[in-house]
Amino acid sequence: MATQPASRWQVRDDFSYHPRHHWCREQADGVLMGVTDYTQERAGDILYVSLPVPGETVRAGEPMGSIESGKWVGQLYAPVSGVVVAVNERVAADPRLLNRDPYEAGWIAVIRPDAAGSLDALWDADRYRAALEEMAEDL
Amino acid sequence: MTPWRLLDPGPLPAWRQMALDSVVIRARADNRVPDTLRFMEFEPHTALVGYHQAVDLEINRQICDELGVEINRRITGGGAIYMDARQLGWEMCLGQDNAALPRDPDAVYRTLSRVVVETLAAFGIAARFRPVNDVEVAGRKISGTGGVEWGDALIYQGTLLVDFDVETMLRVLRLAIEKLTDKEVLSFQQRIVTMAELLGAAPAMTVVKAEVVRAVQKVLEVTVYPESLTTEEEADWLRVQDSFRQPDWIDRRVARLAGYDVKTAQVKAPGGLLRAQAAVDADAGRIRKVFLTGDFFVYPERAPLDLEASLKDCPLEAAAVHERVAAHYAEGYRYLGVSVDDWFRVIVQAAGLDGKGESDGHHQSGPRDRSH
Repeated sequence: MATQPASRWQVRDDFSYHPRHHWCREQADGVLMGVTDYTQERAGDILYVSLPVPGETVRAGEPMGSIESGKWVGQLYAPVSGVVVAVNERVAADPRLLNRDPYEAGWIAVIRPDAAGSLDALWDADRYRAALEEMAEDL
Repeated sequence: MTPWRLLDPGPLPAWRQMALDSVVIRARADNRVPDTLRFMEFEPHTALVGYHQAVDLEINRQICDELGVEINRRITGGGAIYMDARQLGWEMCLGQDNAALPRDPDAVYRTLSRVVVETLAAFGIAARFRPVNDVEVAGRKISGTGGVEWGDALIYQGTLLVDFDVETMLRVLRLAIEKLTDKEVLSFQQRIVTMAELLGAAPAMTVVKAEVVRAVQKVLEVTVYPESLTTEEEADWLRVQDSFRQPDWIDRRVARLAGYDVKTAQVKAPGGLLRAQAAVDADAGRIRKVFLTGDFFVYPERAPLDLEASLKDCPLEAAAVHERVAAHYAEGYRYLGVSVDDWFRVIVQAAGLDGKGESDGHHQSGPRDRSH
């Protein structure tokens, strides 16, 4: 029996999701990405954020930065392979933006993908909701 | 029972220890090695910042240079620590699918801290978990911990104060207590405790290690066997270790501030005098540490130390301070003639929040990556 309803975590219908709880969305200059509501809620009060550097090459599923809360360092994972073209300096200055607004003001980076269709391998919102449901059973 | 390997490489300089952490967690994440218990001893003595901290905010470089204390950066989170041959570092590097681990991160800390509690119990020491992730004896910290995840693996690591050179620690770490009186320095020293103090003499490190192994086996229901690094890990370690003694690693986060802003305040409550000292990181909008003393009655006596722990890294906002003090009182501590509002007043004064209202929540940056 689920002790934590998955519906407590907001999931945006129009975003794609990486299994490590990152969201992304295509825009003109690349793939905008950030962490999901699940990530910020499970982390709690986020104290530090370390961002990748613009121009850095990242690989899908590999760490590209980090966050810290409660003496625990978690990784930020690249949802797609490519080159980082922009990072959100506001979250470095105020990491609580990730707690307050993970899907908008708390965006992490824009990645220019290596190849077209790089979001095809990611989950849609329904698939991500289903994954959260499965996890909620264990919490 | 699930087999774990034990790595006990003996005393090493910090840069080699930190490099080994990075090698072992990657090997575990790739499923190339089993779950691992590892001991860490430091030679020469060293000051370690947490992964996201800036050295210059936490450590006195000049004193380290004079005393031959190496400086390095952990891959795990948490605060700066001083390590010499009298403390035992321990860590568990586990797959995130480990059946013994709860899925809730808070519960992971609580579960794994039972290993330290069980170890100390073997010496007749009654310890307990203190949130977020310390182990304490009658309110005095004896083990601090931190962690990191990497892909499908995690490291949960900590220290065990077998014995401790408090004087050197106070000189090496910038603990924001320069302005304290001798009495208050003594009070600060009372916030930590060692096995040597509790037992009358420090137990042999080999005995402590054996008890940690026994505790891991009992608490987590695994079998631990001595092992060496794999050939691949040895090669990786040799390849990466030099990078862990370079400024790119040690100073990968830099401070925009010369230091934390340290303020002191005192308030007369009906039950006695309250004093608070706060180290404020205005750049990041956080109260990094508070130090609470005074003349008042409370049961249990460790209550102010628990309040200090709950205020660590509190947002620099009056409402956040009030919320944490109120939550502390809700735990059932019994102060005589000292109310939530009394502690609230002295802490917000020390933090410079009185009369200024709440912070707007928008600040300049805290410690930053060097390349930014």
